[in-house]
Amino acid sequence: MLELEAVRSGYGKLEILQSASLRVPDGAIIGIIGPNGAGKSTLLKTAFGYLTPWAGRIALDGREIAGRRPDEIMRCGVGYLAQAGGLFAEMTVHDNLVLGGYTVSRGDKRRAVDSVYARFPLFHDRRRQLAGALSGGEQRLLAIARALIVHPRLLLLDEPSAALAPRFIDEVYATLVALNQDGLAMLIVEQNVEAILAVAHRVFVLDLGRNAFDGTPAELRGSDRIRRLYLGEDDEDAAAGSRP
Amino acid sequence: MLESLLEFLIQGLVLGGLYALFAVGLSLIFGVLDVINVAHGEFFAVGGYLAFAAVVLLHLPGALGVLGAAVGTFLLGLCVYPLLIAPLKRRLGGRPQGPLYLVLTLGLSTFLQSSLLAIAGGDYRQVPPQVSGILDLGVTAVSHQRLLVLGAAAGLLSALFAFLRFHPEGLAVRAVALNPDAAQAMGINLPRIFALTLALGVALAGVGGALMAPLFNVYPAVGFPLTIKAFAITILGGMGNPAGALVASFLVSIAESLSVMVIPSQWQNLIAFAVMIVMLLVRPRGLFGRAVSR
Repeated sequence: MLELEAVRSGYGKLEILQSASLRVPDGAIIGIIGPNGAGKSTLLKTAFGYLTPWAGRIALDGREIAGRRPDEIMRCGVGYLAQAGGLFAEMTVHDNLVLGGYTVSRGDKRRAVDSVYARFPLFHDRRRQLAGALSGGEQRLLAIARALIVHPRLLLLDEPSAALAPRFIDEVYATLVALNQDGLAMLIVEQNVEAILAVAHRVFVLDLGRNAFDGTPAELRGSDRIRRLYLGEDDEDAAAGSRP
Repeated sequence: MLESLLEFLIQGLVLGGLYALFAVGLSLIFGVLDVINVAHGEFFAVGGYLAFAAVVLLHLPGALGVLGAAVGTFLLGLCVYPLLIAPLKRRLGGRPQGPLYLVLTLGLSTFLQSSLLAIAGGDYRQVPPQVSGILDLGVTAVSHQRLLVLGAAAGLLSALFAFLRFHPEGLAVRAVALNPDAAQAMGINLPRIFALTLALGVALAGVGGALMAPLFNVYPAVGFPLTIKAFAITILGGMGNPAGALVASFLVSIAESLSVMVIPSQWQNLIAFAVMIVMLLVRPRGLFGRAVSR
């Protein structure tokens, strides 16, 4: 579905991604982890067109999309959730959902918004409230619900668990898993390693803008070097973690 | 005393309608594009000249003159983003824009003024009123043309706010003002919304120019003093907040009108700027802050 090959990117003259490659197959959840400043969010922004890659190849279903605007990539069936959710905090819950359907016809939009209300009755009850008045977890769910209005095939998520209480993290991830079971592919940048390892089919570790690891969560847990370097665990922690 | 008060109040309301047509557009453009459009007054002048051309030169009805001014300035405004602002933005890349957009629109202002001077000359042009007659209110009388300005301002601004509140493109304009990146993730084409917003904003000024042409003479620099006053109004209402600019327009116009009852009229024009300076010192975000979204 989505392929990045030796992508270089950055801000101004500052190169953040030095050579990053990854592949998101249809229907998979792919996690990206790594230390702060590794280029995780930069990779997501580059894949979605917020940043133009300096070099490399970005393809969606085999078609090059590097250099396209975010709204054009969105129309190809890709959704993007910014770190803080990217809601329009000073607009109502309903207006946020309506904007989620900006690219679809009025009838489709109405049906999609109704289906969101059916799936999340909380948002129907609070549709006239400002989105910024919702709790952090509710805002994150609203952002996910809004991205679903246009039935994307792939969601790019930048730290969906950031600044959330543990019970909301569980709720957000349960929702993501349910959506994945319906066939939605996801590329998730995450600092919360345990949360992403629990759901991802494959994990990429980025370090200094380059791939440092590519494998399944089980393979990552089995790599002492990666655990020590990027998960902040030592061998005793790992041994304790494996004890019943 | 009461008669004078009512008369000045009505004058203030009419003037407020003009200020609002002008300042709401300026504020909307700033809120969405982050560009202070110094050339706004020249679109007011273009509107006046288009009304003059339609009514005096082509002998068309006054209503068509106003319509022509609206369409003409809208189309002219549509060109500003793709031809001027977008290329500069591309050249700057991710670098901070600094005062460059201000200088760019100042250049556009001079270009338009010089073009009007070259095409129409520097003479004062008179446009016959779109409506004639006077409404006698007992304590005072108001010309139908002034009432038309107020009514048209009320109608157009109501339509604008309804558009921003209910129409999908209006919602998109508000979304871009709030969070351009998130708006793009909704599939909103930013260059299209920028061009549309600029065109809408300057078309309001163009209609103002056409409606006011019968009350003032039309000349190339007619809009520039209004631009300066509109800066004061938008700062008072909150930069980038059209609803704040609407309220501030009437606050300033009524304050100016009533002020002549207590201070000499030559001081009248200073009121808006005194308020602006005080506001910048005391509450820089204005009375209502920045809230295109609400």
